[in-house]
Amino acid sequence: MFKKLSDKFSKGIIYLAAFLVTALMAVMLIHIVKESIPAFSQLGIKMVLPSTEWHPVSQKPQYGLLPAIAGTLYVSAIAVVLALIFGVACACFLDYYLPKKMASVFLAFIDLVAGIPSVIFGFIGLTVLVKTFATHLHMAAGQCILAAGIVLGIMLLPFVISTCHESLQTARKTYEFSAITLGFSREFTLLHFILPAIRPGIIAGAMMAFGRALGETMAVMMVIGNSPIYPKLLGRGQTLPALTALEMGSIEYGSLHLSVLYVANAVLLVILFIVLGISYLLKRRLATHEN
Amino acid sequence: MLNIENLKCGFGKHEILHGISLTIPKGQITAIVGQSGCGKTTFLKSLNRMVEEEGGYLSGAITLEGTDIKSLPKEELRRRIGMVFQQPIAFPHSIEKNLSYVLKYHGVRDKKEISEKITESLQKARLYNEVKDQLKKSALKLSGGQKQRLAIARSLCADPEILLLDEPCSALDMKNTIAIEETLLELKKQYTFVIVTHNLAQAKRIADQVIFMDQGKVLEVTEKEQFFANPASEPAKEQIQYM
Amino acid sequence: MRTKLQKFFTRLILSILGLCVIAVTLFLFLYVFWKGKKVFSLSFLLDKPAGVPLGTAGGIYPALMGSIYLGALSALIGGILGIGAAIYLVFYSTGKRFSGLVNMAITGLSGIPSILFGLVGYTLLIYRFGLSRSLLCSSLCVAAMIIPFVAIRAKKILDEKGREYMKTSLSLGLSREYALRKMILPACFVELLGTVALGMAYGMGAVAPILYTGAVMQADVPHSLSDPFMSLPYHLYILVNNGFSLDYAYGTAFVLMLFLLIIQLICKFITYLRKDN
Repeated sequence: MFKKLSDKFSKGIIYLAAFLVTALMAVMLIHIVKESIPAFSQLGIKMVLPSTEWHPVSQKPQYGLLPAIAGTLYVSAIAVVLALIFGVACACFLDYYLPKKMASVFLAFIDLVAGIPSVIFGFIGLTVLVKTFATHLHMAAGQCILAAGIVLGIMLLPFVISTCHESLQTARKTYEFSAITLGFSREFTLLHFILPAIRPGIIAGAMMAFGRALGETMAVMMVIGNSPIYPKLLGRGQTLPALTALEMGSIEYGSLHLSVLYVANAVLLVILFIVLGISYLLKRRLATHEN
Repeated sequence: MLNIENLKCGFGKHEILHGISLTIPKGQITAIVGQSGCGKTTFLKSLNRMVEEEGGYLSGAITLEGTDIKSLPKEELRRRIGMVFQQPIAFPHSIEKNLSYVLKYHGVRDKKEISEKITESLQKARLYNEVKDQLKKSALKLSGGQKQRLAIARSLCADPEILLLDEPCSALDMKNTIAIEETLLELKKQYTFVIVTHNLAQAKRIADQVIFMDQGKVLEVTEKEQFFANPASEPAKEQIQYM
Repeated sequence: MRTKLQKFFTRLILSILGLCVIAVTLFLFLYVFWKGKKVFSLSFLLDKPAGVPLGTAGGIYPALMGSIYLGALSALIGGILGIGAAIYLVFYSTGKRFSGLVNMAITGLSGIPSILFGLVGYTLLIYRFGLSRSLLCSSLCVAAMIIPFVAIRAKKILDEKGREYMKTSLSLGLSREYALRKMILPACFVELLGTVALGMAYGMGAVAPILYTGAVMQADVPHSLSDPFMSLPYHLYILVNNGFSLDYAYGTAFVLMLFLLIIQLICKFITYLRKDN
């Protein structure tokens, strides 16, 4: 009898936790949509027209989100490309050219980088990268899209390297032996058999990394210059999360400005949903292929 | 003892068992035999409703000593109809704790009683002499055959009426297989055993009744001697030929 | 000849790129520690910020304690909810439609940018529900951030060991809850605790959710849930953004990184020891 009670109680807590987590997600989605409605109804398509700029507090306020959207996509794209090039190469380097023990030590070490908070990346980006840009590239201040892309790329490295390393090891087990016995060198096997074999996995991983990069706030905010203008590689720019973080605190509750910020985040979520959706479908195709 | 009528079972739209009706007699060893994939394990898992834990559905009437098994709470059903799996699974605790874990849930609280029942079930499973001085040793360190006998002892702790065994010896060597077979033969008067096996020789050795299945249907339910001497269905004849 | 060249260049490029990555990762840690050690001392850890502007002298004690409280509280809330949801998904969800929703919720939450938790927390908790900017409010936001982190890892942990034990326990006539309480959760306890600890480290480093929900430039060590608090990463941000003191910024970064590194290394070490068994 006592047993039954404590059983029911445990079950109740577990169901409650599952329910609360689902409710949390639902509440957040509903809230974002609800708060975006004023901006949609009052401004509508004006928010994404190329001609609208971002002047929320001027006499004639304009709420153009396109520069920030462009900035977000641009920075994240740079980051993913950099992370892919360096990450895949590093994974190959660790697996092929370092002794096993050393490689696993470095992998664990790179994993620790994943635990470094975003602010610290921004901080180091500011004091090292931005400063270098300012002095060596003769910029007024060093903040630019490229700096943000580089910092983000470094932040994505641990993720790219670990997923790539796993796929690499599996692919090597499957293909390397047969290829070597046919007389191909390890490098040839890598370039012509193994990399093509893991390509779908890398792409799926790249999309996930892209998704992460899209949402990154602090590090980007500190090195991008925070100018809501159209992004140029060595020019200042703005991303949706950084925009939100910057302007959030100084806005009245219930104002149009705040509503537009919600729209900005809704747009971000839609982009994220698409990107992560593609990644999920790719992974599913990968799994069925392997079967 | 266990009456099964028009049992159908499957997962989603895929039906695996297509209407099985038979009786499992009390105090005997019933062996279920047939090719891989014929549904023997699914049938076994229907009897204690474990198939539903894996997302499957069950339709038809199964009565245990006159009671509909769907009317019993699942825990009670599985206490009365126990199960031993193919892979020997020992819980990551001492041998003692593996057994007291089950006893305590089913209401045995008194330390002395627990200790007695542990000894009793280990003896029944023919494991006692090998581990009697090492009850506090981790069960993970036992050999495969010992783990499987521990699994049997563990199931006996629940004091079941029927014990279902799903290919219990297929992961074991000959010596351990014989040990388990002898256990079943010795205990069959106290319990009822239903054993799924792909090994026809094993069925011949220990079964009283044989159920032959093929592609989700039961083709024969006969007394052992009769089955091996004169099988009625073609697939059965074929398989016995290859014994 | 062609293949020899190909081989050489492949090796060269892979090695250069690989070494770059290793160099950069080493640099990240060494740079902070090198620059921060100047300021780092026991008094730095234990004193309150001083100087004009505030933060250019003294220490970071309130920020350190604020971060620890924030981390602990959010890890507690987020950890329980995350592990609870994970248990539901692994052990209670065969074929039910609700479990698909729970799964989607966790995946969705894991993709949401951290600033959104702050934005929603700000408008919902502070304006709608009338909470003040406080430890409680920020902890709720950070807990929401931690939930998917913990849930996904906990699901993996429970999946590996738990399913077999649950199957066996059920077939012995035991209830799910009994099996969880007495067998499965104790067996996974250390790993689950490690996951929650890592979640705490994750939460401690977050700035975006706490920007307007509770973190402030200057406060005492929080005495109650409704007090505002200082946070290490936020303090770092303030020092840098307002140009107050680069030295003290390095020192703050040093402490933050060291603290989180220690937590992570302990967890890694424990996983390493357990794998040996």
